Amino acid sequence: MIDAELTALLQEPVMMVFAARSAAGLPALGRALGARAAPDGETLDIFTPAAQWGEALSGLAPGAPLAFTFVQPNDYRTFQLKGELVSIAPADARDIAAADRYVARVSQALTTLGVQPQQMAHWLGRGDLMTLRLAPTMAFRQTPGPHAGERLPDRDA
Amino acid sequence: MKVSLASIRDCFEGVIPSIIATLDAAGQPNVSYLSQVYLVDDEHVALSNQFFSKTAANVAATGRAHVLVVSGRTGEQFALDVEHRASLTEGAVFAKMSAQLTAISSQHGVGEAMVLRSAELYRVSECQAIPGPPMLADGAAPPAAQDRLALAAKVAAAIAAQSDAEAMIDAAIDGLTSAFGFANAMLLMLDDDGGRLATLASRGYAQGGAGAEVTLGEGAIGIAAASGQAVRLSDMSRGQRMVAAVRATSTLDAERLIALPGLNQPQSQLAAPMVSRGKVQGVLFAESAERFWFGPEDEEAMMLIGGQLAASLRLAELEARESETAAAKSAPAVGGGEIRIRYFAHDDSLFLDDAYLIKGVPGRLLFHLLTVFAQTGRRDFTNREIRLEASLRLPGLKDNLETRLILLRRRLEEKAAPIRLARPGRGQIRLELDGVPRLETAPSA
Repeated sequence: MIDAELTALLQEPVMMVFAARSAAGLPALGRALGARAAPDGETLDIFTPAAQWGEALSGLAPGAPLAFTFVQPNDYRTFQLKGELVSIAPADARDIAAADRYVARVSQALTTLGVQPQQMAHWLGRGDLMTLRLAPTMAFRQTPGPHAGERLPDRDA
Repeated sequence: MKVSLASIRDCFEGVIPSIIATLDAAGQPNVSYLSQVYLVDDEHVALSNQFFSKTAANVAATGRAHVLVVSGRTGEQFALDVEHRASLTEGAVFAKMSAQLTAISSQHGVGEAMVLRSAELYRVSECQAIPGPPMLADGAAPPAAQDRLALAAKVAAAIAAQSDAEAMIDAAIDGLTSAFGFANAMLLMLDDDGGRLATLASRGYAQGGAGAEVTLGEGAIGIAAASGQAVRLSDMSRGQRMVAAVRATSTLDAERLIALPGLNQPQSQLAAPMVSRGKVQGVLFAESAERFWFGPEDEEAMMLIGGQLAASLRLAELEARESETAAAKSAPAVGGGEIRIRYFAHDDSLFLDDAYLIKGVPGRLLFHLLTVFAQTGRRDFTNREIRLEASLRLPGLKDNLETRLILLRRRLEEKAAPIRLARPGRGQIRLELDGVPRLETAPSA
């Protein structure tokens, strides 16, 4: 599901957001601080600080639907993955290290774009980091323009 | 704790992209970036509908969305729960949002992709602050949004106190610089064919730029004139500079350009149309090298001042038309060398000793005065006779002779030209010459 192009893009300083249904049954969203595809491309681990995005995590349990969008701020390339949550758990040391590397990479890229450190501190906070494991079943291209919303061919199809 | 929308106005400037989450009827979430969330009032926001069809379908199915907005100034984040109310394709909210979106997207170089299809009106049921780091004290805070209305009233009164068009223009631009503290400001008037604006006055730049042109629809100034809406940009650091200068379409045009004054790296810009009788007459413009320099109150104040100025200038035109001033007697012209004047009829452009001076109605006017002088030796004219001169093809009731003459006089002064226009009395013009003009009409291209 997560092909070479998407895997490569996830290593770039992309901005990441996810959406879920809250415990109240309403749409909710949060920012992610990095994501790591499994070697087989079947699942994706997404890191997010629960201290900021508690509402979006409030309704999440294995089997819950989840959407994950990432955008490259330099060229607006945007993709969305949709699927089911496999697991939700506090981030382990390896995940925290991955999130730290992500924050360093994005901070540098945003600084180049003229964003101030005190601004990005709001978006890159790391309190109570959780790891969401997503099993995507659909991928969409959402880069602004005529192909926005186009579904990507399934690898297995 | 619920946050009031008015207290987070910085989130609605289109600086940092917003994010929107929706659910489909089965509860499957969708998440998209959104270019603009527009503050309508303390209970409503409007979202731009451009190309995110899944979001639109989900809202149609559920009526709800969750929006994350970000302060472009501080980075603070706020989550809004919203309920769909209406889809607007016309009216004040749509027009305002469309102009702002055009300005922001042209600044970011995205251009054509960002056409507003509709403004989606939502009621905000909840607005929560997302926890973040403690706020740092602000470095360069914009001037306190103290009573802008009182300041605008003061400047409007100063304009209304004048009976002379030139004094009105100076009262307006000096008011922006002194009362509002806008260090870099300009005033531009729409030309008679309505396709371009010409600079009439500026403050805070190395060059005055009288006569410098802006094409309708280009940059903050051109968009404000074309849409009749104020345009405010609060953080231009990541976008390309809005190129407000006229784009030369050929080398012939390139030599007929006057450089538009402007900051090298503006961060904030505000352009407000001068509207009178439902028509845009010109644009007031201010810019700053600081981010978030202009607030919504400044925008409203500038609209008020622009409206007063537009109405006052129209009255001045009408009064000048009525006044029956006899031309003073011409004193003999001063001698001197030869001044070579070339006139191109196809665009009414005028060159003095091979240097470009001006084009359009002001060019035609000056060539007419010089022609009369060459034929009769007369240097004194009345506004009234100029108005009645058929060969000038002035656009009748719409004409803005007063502002054209001001533009021409200022351009001649800035060029330190050997020709000047003096005003010996109300409604009178006198040619002052440091030489003998030799007129040439260039063959049409």
